[in-house]
Amino acid sequence: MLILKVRKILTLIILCTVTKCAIAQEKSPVKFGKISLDDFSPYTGDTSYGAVIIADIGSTSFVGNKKGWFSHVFKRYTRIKILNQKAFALATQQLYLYKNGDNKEELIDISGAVYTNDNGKINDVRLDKRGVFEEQYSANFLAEKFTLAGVKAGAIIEYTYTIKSDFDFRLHPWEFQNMQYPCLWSEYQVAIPGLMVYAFARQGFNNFYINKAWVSHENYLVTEQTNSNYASNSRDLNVGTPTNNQRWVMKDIKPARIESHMSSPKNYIDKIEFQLNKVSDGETFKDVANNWDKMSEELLKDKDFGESLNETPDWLGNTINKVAADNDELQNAKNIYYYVRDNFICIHYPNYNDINIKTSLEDVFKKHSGNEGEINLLLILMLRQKGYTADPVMLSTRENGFNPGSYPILDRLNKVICKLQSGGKAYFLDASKRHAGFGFLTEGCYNGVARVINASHPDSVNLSTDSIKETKVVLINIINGENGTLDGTAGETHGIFQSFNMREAIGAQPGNAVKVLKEYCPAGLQVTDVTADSLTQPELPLKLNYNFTINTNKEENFYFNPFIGQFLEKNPFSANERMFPVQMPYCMQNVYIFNMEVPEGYKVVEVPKSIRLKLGETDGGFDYLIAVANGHIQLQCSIRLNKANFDPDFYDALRNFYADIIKKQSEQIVFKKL
Amino acid sequence: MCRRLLMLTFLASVVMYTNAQYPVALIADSLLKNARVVVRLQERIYEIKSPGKATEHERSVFTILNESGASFGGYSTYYNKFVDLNNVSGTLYDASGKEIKHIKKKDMSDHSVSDEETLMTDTRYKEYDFGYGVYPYTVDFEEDDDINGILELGDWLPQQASGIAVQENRYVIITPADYVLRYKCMNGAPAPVITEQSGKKVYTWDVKNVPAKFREDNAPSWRQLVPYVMVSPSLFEAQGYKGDMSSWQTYGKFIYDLLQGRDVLPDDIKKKVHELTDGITDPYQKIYTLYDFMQKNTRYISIQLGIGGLQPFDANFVATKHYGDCKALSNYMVALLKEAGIKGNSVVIFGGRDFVPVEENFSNDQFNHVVACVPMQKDTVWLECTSQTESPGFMGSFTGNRKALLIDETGGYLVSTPVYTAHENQQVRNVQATIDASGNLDANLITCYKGTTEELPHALIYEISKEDRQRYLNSVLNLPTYQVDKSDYKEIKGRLPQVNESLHITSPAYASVTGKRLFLSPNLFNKSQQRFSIDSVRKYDVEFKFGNTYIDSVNLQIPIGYTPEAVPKNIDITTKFGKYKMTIQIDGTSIKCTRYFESDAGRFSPADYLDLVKFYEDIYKADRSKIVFVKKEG
Repeated sequence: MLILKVRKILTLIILCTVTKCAIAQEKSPVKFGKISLDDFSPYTGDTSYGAVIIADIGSTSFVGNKKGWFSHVFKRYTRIKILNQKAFALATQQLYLYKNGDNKEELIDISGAVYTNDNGKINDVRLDKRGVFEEQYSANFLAEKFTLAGVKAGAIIEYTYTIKSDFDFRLHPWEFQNMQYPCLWSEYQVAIPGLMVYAFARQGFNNFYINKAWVSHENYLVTEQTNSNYASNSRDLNVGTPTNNQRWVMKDIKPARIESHMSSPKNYIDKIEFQLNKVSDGETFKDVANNWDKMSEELLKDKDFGESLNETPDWLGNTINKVAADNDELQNAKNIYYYVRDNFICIHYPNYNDINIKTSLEDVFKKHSGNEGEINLLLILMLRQKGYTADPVMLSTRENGFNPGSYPILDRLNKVICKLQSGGKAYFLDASKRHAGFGFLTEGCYNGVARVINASHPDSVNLSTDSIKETKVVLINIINGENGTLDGTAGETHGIFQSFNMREAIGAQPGNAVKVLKEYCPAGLQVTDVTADSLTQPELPLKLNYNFTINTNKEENFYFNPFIGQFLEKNPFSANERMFPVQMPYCMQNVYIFNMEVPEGYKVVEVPKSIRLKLGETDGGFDYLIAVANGHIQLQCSIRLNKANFDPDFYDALRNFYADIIKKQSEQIVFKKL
Repeated sequence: MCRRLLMLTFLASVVMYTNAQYPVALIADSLLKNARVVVRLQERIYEIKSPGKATEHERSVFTILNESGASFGGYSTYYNKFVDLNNVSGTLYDASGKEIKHIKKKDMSDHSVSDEETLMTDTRYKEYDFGYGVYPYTVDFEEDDDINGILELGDWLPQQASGIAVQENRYVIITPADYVLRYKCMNGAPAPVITEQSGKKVYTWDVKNVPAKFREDNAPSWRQLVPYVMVSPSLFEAQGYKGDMSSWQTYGKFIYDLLQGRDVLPDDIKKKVHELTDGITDPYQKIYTLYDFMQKNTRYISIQLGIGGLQPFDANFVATKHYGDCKALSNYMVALLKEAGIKGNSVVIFGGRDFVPVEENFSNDQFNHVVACVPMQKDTVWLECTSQTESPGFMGSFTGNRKALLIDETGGYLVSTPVYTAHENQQVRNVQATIDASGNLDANLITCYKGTTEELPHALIYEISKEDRQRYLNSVLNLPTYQVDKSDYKEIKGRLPQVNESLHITSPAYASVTGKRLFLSPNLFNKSQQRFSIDSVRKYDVEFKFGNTYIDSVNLQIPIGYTPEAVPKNIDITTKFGKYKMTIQIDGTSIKCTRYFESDAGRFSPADYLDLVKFYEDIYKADRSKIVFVKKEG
C-alpha cells in the first residue's frame, strides 16, 4: 500500500486549481423509495419481455481508509417494473463479492422493496434483511442471494446496495445493456481522486445520452498506521485533492441478442470497464499499469504458473529419455506431446481456475491428471527438459469473450497452451484434448490476440479465425448396378475441426465407431460398408467412406438430385436481421465432385445449368459446373468463404448467398426411359 | 551385502504383488465386453438402530475402462440435517492394482445443491474426482454416515446405468429383530437371504458377474429394464415426526399430519376470497377464480430447510411473501378453497415427462412434486400451483397420465391424473399457399394445438419475449430459407386448453425449378424426423408415453401452364403403432394435400420392431415426396 506523503499534498492542491464547474445535467429520473401512482401507469413499450428496467443507476466513489490509502464504494440502485409472470424471477437477485485471502469486499448496505397499486393505494413490502443468504460461489467470490416478497404482475420492485472494496485494481465495471430486459435509463458515475488514474475501456454499439466529465475538489479522511520502534500509532490526514468525475447515461436500450455464429455476446453489450494505470503519493505519479512485460515476469515467478518450468525435476525420472528416443528433433517433440496427451486426463477443479497449477506439476505427473493449464505446463516443462524452446501462451477462448490484448487482465484469460519452436517453425500445442493432433487447436482458441509468456519477449500472437480454413472434399462415384439399381461409392475427406469432432464422438462410444460414423452419412440414404481412414492418425484429416444404392424403380421418369442428401437443407443464417457481427469459427471451402453413369435404359432430358456466384468481391464464391459427356454426368461444386468475420451490414448478402446455394443445390437431373 | 539386498528386493516385489488391489487382469472377459465401467465391488450396509436412527457404510470399487466411463471415476455425496458424513475416503489404483493416491474427506470440494430457482437449502454435497489419465484404472471409495431421521432406506439398483458390468454388488440391511422391513423385488431381482443373530435381523442381497446392459432409444425407463429392489421402512421417525409407511393410507396420514394447522389464512386474504367468490354459484367457476387469484399473486421458489423438505411453509407465509415451493403453494390453494367452502386436497406426485409408473403395490416415497385437486361429483379438477399461466384442470405431460397419492383426513390413497390420449393431443393445421413462377412460396397457416401439443405454443406465449419468439419461429421450420413475418397466438383456457396460432410465411425458391420442370413437396410444414436404427437386433420394448394426432390440410396454388408429370400415390397405413394417411389431389393449378398421422401411446415388443421401423420409414419418405410438373410447350 502506498503511504501518502502528507506535506506534498498541499502543493498538489495548490497546483491543481481547476475550477469546479457546475454542469447543468439531466438528473436521474427516479429515487429509491419515491413512488407515486403515476409510476404505475401502463407501460407503452413491448410488454412481452415481462419487465422493463425503469432505471439502473450505479456510482463508484472513493473514501479514505485506515490503511493510509483509499477504498472505493460502489452503490447500485435498480428499479424494475414487472409486467407479467415472465419476469417474476427478477425478484430473486444475486450479487457477488470478491475476496482474495483475508481481504474481501464488504456489503455494507442493502435494501429492497416491492410496490403494488391496490386500487389507488400504494402497498409496499420491504426486504427482510434476514432473507439475504450468503454462499461461497467460487474460489474468489461470495454470492449474496435475496428474494423480494410480494411480487405480482404490475408491481414495481426496487433494490439498492453498497459494496466497499480495497481492491484498487477492481473498480466495478458497468453494463448498460441487459441480456434479457429493455432498460429505460442506465447510468454510471465515477468520482476518482486525482491521485489515481484509471483508463476507461468502453465496448458496445449504442450511443450515450449523457457523457460528461468534470473536476471537483474533495476531502478524504485517510488514516495512516505508523509503526515506530516503540508503539503502533495511527494518525488522521485530511487529504484534499481534485477529483475526476464522469457520468455516463444511456436511454432506451434494447436487450442484447444471442445470435447464431457469434462468439460470446459479452463482447458486444454496452459496457465500461476500468484499468488502474497510475497512482501518486502526492509528489510523483508512479506507473502501476499492468503491461505484458510485467505480467509475464510475475507469472513466470508465480508458483501456480511458471515457477517450476525452469526446474530440473527428479520426479520425471527417465520418462523423457524413454518417450523421446528418436533421432529426429520434430519427431521427439511429437513423442513428448502424444505422451502427455495420452497419459494425462484433463479435469476441471471445482471453484478453481483452469490456467493455474492447483497442486504441483509433480503431483499432476503422479496422478496422471490435471486441469488444462497443468497439462500444458507439464508439456512445456518436459519439452524444455529435452532442450526445446517452449513457452506458455495465454488466451481467452471464444465462449469466454475477447482478450483486450494490449492490456493484461488475468481474469479475462481462461486457457494456457504451448508454443514450441522447432526447426525454425512455431507450433501451437494443446495436450489437454485427447483427440487433438500435434499442432491442432480447437475452434475456441481462435479468438484474436494471445500472449506468449516469456521473460524477455512476451510477444502477442494473433490466433485469428480469418487465418484458418476448414476444407471438406467429397468424391461421389455412381455406376450402373443390376436390375435398374445404381451403385454409389463415397469418400468424404473432412476438415481438421470436423475430423476432431468425429474422433471425439467415436471416443465417447468405444466399440461403436461404425454406429457413430453412420450419423455423419447423408440421412436419406441407406449406407453400407461404412469405414474411416486415418481414424487414429490425428494429424491427418479423417476420411469417411461408404457405399450406397439408389433404385430407379424402372419408373418412366427418374428424378435425381446429384447431392444425394449432402446439400444444406436450411439456410445457416435463419434470422432475417442482425444486431452483431457474424463470426464464423474459420474460413471454409467445401468441394463436391460427382461422377455418374447415365442409368441403363435411360437418357438425360434435363440437367441444371452451370453457374458461378460471388460473395462480395472476394469474400466467397459458389461454383456449380455440370456436364454430360460420354454417358456420364460430371458435377463439380464448391462453396467458399474466404473470410470468417462479417459486419452486420453484410448479413443480408451472406444470407442471400446461402439462399442461392440452397436453391441451386435443390435442382434435379431428369432421366427418361429410352 | 549384495545378496542380502537382492533378497530384500525380491521380498519387496512379492509384497507389492500381494498388495495389489483389484488388478484389471482379474476381470472376466464376459464383464469387459462393451463395458465402460466394471463395478468390482459395491456394498452398502445400512444398520437401523431405531425407527429414526441408523448408520450407513458404503463402499464402491469401480474400474473405469475407457473415457466414456470417466464420469464414474469421481464420487459425490450429500449431507444435511438428516445425514451426518462421518468419514469419506478414496483410493486410486492403476491397472495393475498399485496404489497411486489416497484422499480423505478434507480433500473433497464442498458445494451447495442450490440452483437458480433455489433461494436457500441446507443440503450440501462433497465431491472428488481422481480423473486419472491412464485407462483402465480403479477407484475405491468408502463412506460412513450417521442417519438422524429415516424417511427412506434407498432402493437397491445393482446396475445403475447403461454400459456398467457388475462383478459384485451387495446390499445389507440390519434391523432390530422386531423391525418390520418392507421390500419388493422387481424385474427378477433376487430375494434376500435373511438371518438372525443376537437380536438383530440381517437381510442380504447379492449379485455377481452381471455383464453390461445397454438401453436402446425409446426403450422404457432404465428401472423398467433391470432388476432392482424397492426397500422401505414401516414405522419411521424424522425430526420429531413419526409415521408409518406400510400402506398408502398410513403414509398419506403422515403427510396429512405435517399439513395440520398450516392452512390458516390472514384476514385480508379471507376477505378477498369472499369478495371474489361469494357472488358465484357454480362451484367450478369458484375454483377457477381462486386458482386465477393464486396464480396472479404467487410465484415459485424452492426453499429446502430441514423438515421443510417435507413440510410446507404455511398459508400465511405464502399470503404475505407471495411465494412458495410446490407444497406450500398447493397447501395455500387448498386453504383458499376451504375459505370458499370447497374441499380440495394436496396430491403428492412424480413430475416429469419421463416418468416411471408408480409401483402401486409398494407404498413409499416415489414422488418429487405436489399439486392440488378438487374432487367434484362427476370429476376432479386438477391444479398445478407452481405455474402462473397453466389452465385450471390441465396437467399435461408433466403430471398427466399417471398415478399419484391424494392426501386427506383419512390418510391417503392413489388416484389417477387425467389421461391425455392421441385423441386429446391433437394438432390441426390448415394451410393456404401459393407458389409463383420462380418457386417462391407464400403461405398462411392456421394451427390449433390441443392437449400436450399445446405445451410448446403455450411456452411461446408466456415464457419468452415477442422478439425471442420471432427468432425462434424463424429458425425452427424445416424450410430452406424463409421468413415468418406475421405471427399471432391466442390461448383458450380450459380443462383441455387450446392454442390457436396464425402465421404468415414466405420462402424464396421453396419449389425447385429446373429448366421446364417444377419440383414441389406439397406437405409443406409437417415432415416427420423420427427414424429408428436397424443396426442391431432390438432387445427391449419400444415405449411411447404419450400419443398425438397431427392433421394437416394444404391448399396450394401453382402458376398456370404446368401439367403434372409425376404424382406421389395416396397412402393409407394402419398399424398397431398408429395411422398414417396422405392424399394428393391436383385440379388445374390447385393442389390439395391432406395428411393424417396418429401415433399411439403404448409399449411394443421387440418382435414388432421391424414393423415399427418400416412404418416410420414409410412416413419419412411420404412426407418428403414431390410432385413433378412440366411446363406445357408453347
